[in-house]
Amino acid sequence: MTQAALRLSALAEKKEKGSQTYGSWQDIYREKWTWDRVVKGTCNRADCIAACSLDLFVKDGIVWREEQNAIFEQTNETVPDFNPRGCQKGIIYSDLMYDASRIKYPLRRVGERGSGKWERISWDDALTEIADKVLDVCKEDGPESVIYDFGTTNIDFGPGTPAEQHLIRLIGTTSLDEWAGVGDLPMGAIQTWGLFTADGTSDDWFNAETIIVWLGNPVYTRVPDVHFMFEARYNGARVVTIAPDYNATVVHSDLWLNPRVGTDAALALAMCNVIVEEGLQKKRYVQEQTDLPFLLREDTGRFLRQSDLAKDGKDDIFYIWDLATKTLQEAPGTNGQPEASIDLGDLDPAMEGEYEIELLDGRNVTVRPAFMALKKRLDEYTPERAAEITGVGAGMIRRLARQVAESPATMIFCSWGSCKHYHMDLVQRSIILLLALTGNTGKRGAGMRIGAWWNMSLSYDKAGVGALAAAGGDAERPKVRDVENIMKTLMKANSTISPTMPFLYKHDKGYAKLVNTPGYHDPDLKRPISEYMQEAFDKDWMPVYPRDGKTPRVFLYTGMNPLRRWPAPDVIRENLWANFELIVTWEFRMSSSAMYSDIILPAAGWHEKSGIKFCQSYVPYICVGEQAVEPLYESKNEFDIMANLAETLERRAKEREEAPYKDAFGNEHDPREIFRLWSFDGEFGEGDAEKALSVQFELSDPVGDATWEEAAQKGAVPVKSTGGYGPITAITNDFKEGETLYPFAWFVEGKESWPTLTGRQQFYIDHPWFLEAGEELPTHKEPPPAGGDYPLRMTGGHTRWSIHSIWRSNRTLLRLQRGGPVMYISTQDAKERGLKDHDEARVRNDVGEFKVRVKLAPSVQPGQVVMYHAWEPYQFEQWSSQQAVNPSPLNPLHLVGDYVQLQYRFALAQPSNISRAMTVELTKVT
Amino acid sequence: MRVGRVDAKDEELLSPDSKAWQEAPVNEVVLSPAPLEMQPTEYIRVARNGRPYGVLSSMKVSALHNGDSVFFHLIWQDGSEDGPIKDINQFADAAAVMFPMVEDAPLIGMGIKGKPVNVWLWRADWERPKNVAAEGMGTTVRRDDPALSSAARHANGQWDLIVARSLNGKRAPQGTVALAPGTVTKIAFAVWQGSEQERAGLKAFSPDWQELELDA
Amino acid sequence: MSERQLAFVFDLNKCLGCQTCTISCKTLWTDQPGMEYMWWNIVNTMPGRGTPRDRDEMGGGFDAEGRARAGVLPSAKDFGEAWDFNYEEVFYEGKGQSAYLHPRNPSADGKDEAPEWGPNWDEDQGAGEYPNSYYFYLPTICMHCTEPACLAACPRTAISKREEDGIVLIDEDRCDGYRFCMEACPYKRIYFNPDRFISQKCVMCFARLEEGVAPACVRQCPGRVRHFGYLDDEENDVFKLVKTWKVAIPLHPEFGTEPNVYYVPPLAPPRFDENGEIDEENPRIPMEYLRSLFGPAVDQALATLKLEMEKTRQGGKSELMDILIAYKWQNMFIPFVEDPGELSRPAPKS
Repeated sequence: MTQAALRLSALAEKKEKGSQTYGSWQDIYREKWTWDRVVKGTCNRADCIAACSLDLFVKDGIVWREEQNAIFEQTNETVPDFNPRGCQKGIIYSDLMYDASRIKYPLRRVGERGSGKWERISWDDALTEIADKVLDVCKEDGPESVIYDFGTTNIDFGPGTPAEQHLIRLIGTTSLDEWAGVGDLPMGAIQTWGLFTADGTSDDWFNAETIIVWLGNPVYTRVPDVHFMFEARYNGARVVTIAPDYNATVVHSDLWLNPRVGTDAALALAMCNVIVEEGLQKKRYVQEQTDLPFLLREDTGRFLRQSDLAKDGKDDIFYIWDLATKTLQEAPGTNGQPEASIDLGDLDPAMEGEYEIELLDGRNVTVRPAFMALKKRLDEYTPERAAEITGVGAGMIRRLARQVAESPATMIFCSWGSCKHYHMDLVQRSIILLLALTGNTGKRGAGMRIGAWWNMSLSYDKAGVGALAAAGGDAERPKVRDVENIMKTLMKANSTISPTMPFLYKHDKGYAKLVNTPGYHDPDLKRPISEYMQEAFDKDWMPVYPRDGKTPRVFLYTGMNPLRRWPAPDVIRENLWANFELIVTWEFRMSSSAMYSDIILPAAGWHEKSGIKFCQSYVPYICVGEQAVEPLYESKNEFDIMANLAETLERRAKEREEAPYKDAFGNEHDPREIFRLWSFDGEFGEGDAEKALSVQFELSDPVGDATWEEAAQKGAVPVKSTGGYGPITAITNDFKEGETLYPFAWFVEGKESWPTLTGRQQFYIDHPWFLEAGEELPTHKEPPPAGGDYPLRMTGGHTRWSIHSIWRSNRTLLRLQRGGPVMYISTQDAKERGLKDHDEARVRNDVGEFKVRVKLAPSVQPGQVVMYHAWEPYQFEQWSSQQAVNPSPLNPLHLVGDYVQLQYRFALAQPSNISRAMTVELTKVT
Repeated sequence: MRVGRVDAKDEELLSPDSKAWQEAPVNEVVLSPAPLEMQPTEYIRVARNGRPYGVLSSMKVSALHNGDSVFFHLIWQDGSEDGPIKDINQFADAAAVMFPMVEDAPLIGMGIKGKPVNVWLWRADWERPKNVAAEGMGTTVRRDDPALSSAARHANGQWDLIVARSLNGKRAPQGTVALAPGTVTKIAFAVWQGSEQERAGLKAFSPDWQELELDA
Repeated sequence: MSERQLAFVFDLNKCLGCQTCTISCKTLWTDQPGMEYMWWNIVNTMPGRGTPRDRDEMGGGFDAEGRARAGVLPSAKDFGEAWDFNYEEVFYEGKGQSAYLHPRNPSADGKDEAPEWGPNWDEDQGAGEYPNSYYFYLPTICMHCTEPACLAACPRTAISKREEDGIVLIDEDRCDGYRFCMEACPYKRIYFNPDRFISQKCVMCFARLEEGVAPACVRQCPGRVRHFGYLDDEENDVFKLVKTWKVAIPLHPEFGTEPNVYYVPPLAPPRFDENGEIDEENPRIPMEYLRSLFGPAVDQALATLKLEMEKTRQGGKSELMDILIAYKWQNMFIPFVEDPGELSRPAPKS
């Protein structure tokens, strides 16, 4: 019977037998499930790594409820489909939107910052006050003293964020790069690949034969996508989770490995040891795709370079020993080679052996393939030795290593969990090494996955972006390494985007003092942190604005929550924050940072404006939300707020008879023209958000010919192309309709050079700082005791209950938790401290302290306490939150800026907010 | 039970301490638990087997009318006052007076099909009593009845409840007992102790109809 | 027993504990006054005390001879109250850091009483001793039992089971709020609405079914856990999982009500021995525990599941695995495949 026929018979029976008995109470239910219209919505300004489409059921002018709009087509018959994408948070936004945390009117602080004393003011008063202060500062100190921070908590892919960026560039402010500020920057991936994202579509996970979830918890954090893993399990894949605690993902795993907190690199390296010892590596893949055949000089420990051998030789041309011809040969495709191809052709690079080479100066030097250095390093990580370090049985390590080697496709879901650890790069490099030795990177259903984005245009500037695209025409796709090199050069030349952690270090004396605390860092470091920092500033590795002699004076931030997220917010509040003369946010809900701001502008909620959702690559659709209801109270969408601010700036500049001022690069900005420029000569103004969206669609490759109107009507349109390589897009594979998408095919199948110094997945970093720290190769180092000498390690993780702090304060969701912050503690550690379930504990270290209820869990590893992400400080007594004990210890290797893949640009190579594995102690509050 | 006629205002008769009630004759009504085997569902019979209910053994009843309305004054011991519930596992105290609508309507089972009874049900969480029609267990239909009123007080471990209704004679609405000066009929009583989770058939009741005669 | 029966299969090996089902139900049916504390659908971490707390020890249902068993009437605190929060005080009353956002029991009449239980209080705590800890998620709704204890207990005959699909409904016009049904329900999935003085529970989204739309919790489950359909429809996943493969089994069959929600029981990674190696002998989740939840049928259900999983691991095909994978999501709830977003349902003009 067909589906339709089946249903008909079901309905016919119902009609026959049921309907006449229905009484009036049943009609109440029928009437409840009614609506005036359905609008397609999404969480269109939430920084969550999902994109979903929601049906918004609108009744009596309010968004009554959301239900997933399950329109996603199955990619092909061999993989499950994507429906129904959504989660408990997305489908309760209509509660958050109307709840008591909603900001209704422009507010001006009338008491001390943080006092909660406000007056309601008009939009005009608010914008005039902001404009006047911005103009004052631009005139006195230049626009770099105005700081703009766009998140990441609350951003869209249009039109709000592009409208903000457009205005901010016209003013010339400093912008903070919060990618690492949230602790989401995988430095190990950057060091190895030159790339910071790696993913495709989530249905490609279904193609994996072995899935290792490592330092991630997708059951919490990938609600709409994680089903592919468990469906893969039914399809024959083995799911392995590596985590200290029995987390929600372990629940559905076939194997759990439970290393001690911070020992993951030792575990990965031991698996590499097994693979190399047992000769299980994929030789040709390693020869071609890695730097491991590259020859290393015995005397310096650095690669043998062309500059070692030839006058005017290049520093970025390297050598292999070709076994076919028994000659020294330049490795193809390194950064110094004109052709970006790593195709070895007939070359058969030696992986072992020892060769004498005559240098330019006539000296002889012994060189060996880097693989030999690696083998030596791996000798330190026998399974037995790793078992001592990690607590994982040697037999388990061997078993998993063999499984990875033998499995046709091993995928490691690594995500951003590891990025929040001090030695995250060592962990990631070790994991990537494991996958490289076994040929898993750049393969269907395989490789390390961290997330990626479709390359939608983040601008509605038809003349700018459009012209650029037209100029490019149908020319061959530019090589990734060339795009990267151009982006880095351009960025240095004219961008005031500043990496957040160095920004805080430079402009907050209290925070700098905390970071400088001896003992919070890698004990292998030869110098105090301040010296590394100074060198990085002196060499301009870390471009931080405002420059020397100027201070940050105005802080404009949007929908993010710096005093929730920044390390030791109690310290920063007394320093950098206190020194801001004006702090402004536009936001839809009251955050802890908003409470400490001077002016709050009410932003429209998501269903009150149209927009494009964060275009992450898991789902091959671009999801959008269309405005369903008018902005509540006096709120406005971000596009309109920017239009109004630009207008006010121009009006006030004219009234004040301002002159042009110069930015950090000497470029002139005329504030009397700012709205004309922002509006593209009047083309865009208040109310034109959807017009901007239409242009963005025109300028975006991923949507093909689809228009904004079509997307708004359907809720999502299928992706037609990845959109190529862009600043936050690293899929590096071509999207093919009817196929799942996996990353890095351009490099692995296409043999294009990786954007690294060696043009390969680079496991040997011969930078002097790395050599000095003993990190030229992946190794294991214990996390430093950041916080002082305390027995417990505080870890964390993103939670199922919030996206950063959004939803953290929502009443309905809190009722499904314990109503406020909790810390998970092992039953053993709790017992030793006399703590019972739900007791209040004081958590402290040398940095600070906070009070929290404990949740006793046998699932937690003794020695570990777990504090999940993003509680609002105002949910803690005295607003002292989990960040109060976080000094965010700095790893100076992350400051390096003179090594091809290690140069700062937006969202690349920089130190991160390290918020995991702090040392703490708990005592019971009596 | 005789319902004496007094010359007193409604307000006075709705006040338990008033002179009229001090002078009114008091009837001792014997109560017993509504039988377990008569409980309408097996679940209730099982759940209350060995868990006593309806243990109140008697109550004091006085009755008066003033020509316009009839007043029943019920006094019984109840150590806990259970008014509007504060939790979902709580029940309010309640009491009822019941009349046959036809001569031989059975008391046990609250009437039977074709032989209805009329109940004036007071509950400690209600503003006013409700008028209940029943033709057997599980058939009760409650409705608001503006002619019904009550006054209740819980003090010193006892409830003082007055339930009143206007006398209506032949103008009694459908399902409501017709009472007028001189009417002779029957009456029965029931009490529910909220603290004992008594509700529905779990109650103390007067197992036999009592004669009821209103002074002319 | 009804002529036909709609039934659910919840696959515990796909459940994420995300409570999207819980919220989908909340926003649809229980967002009205008097219903704040109600969660007709809830997901509990097991081992755990459940919702209401210690529900498995609250009695109800029928004994082996089919006689009714006495049950406990839970309190609001057992279910977990709908806590209030002091937003205004924190945001706008000028108290600075001296006031912080925290929950208060509404029953405490404005007194600052901290809650000590909630519907998901023991989320992710579980049991066992590290590293042999274990837990899993167990979603529950009204089981729409074939022999509903609630129906049997009601002295008002206010509860009925529909012939055409076996849905168990409480007639809200007949219900007098006696709550015998709440005592008698062994799964404790009936709530009491103090504002309307009636008992309420899952209605299987009958209004949606009338339009050919699957229940909200089924259609909105992002873990793709819930199969739904007629238990006698041999083409349906539910039939195949329950009757053919017998991998979907009822919760607490000993309660005697013949529930119509069936569960694919949970697998778990192997235990560790004292050397941190795999303990092949003993399962991580003790079988006695699983039997205490799902009865003796759990052994065979798990054995079948493992056997079929091994087939696909060896590169073979398995009809059972294909059903559980659910390549096409809509096939999980045939014939109720209508898209609610495509419907026009204006409220009737009053």
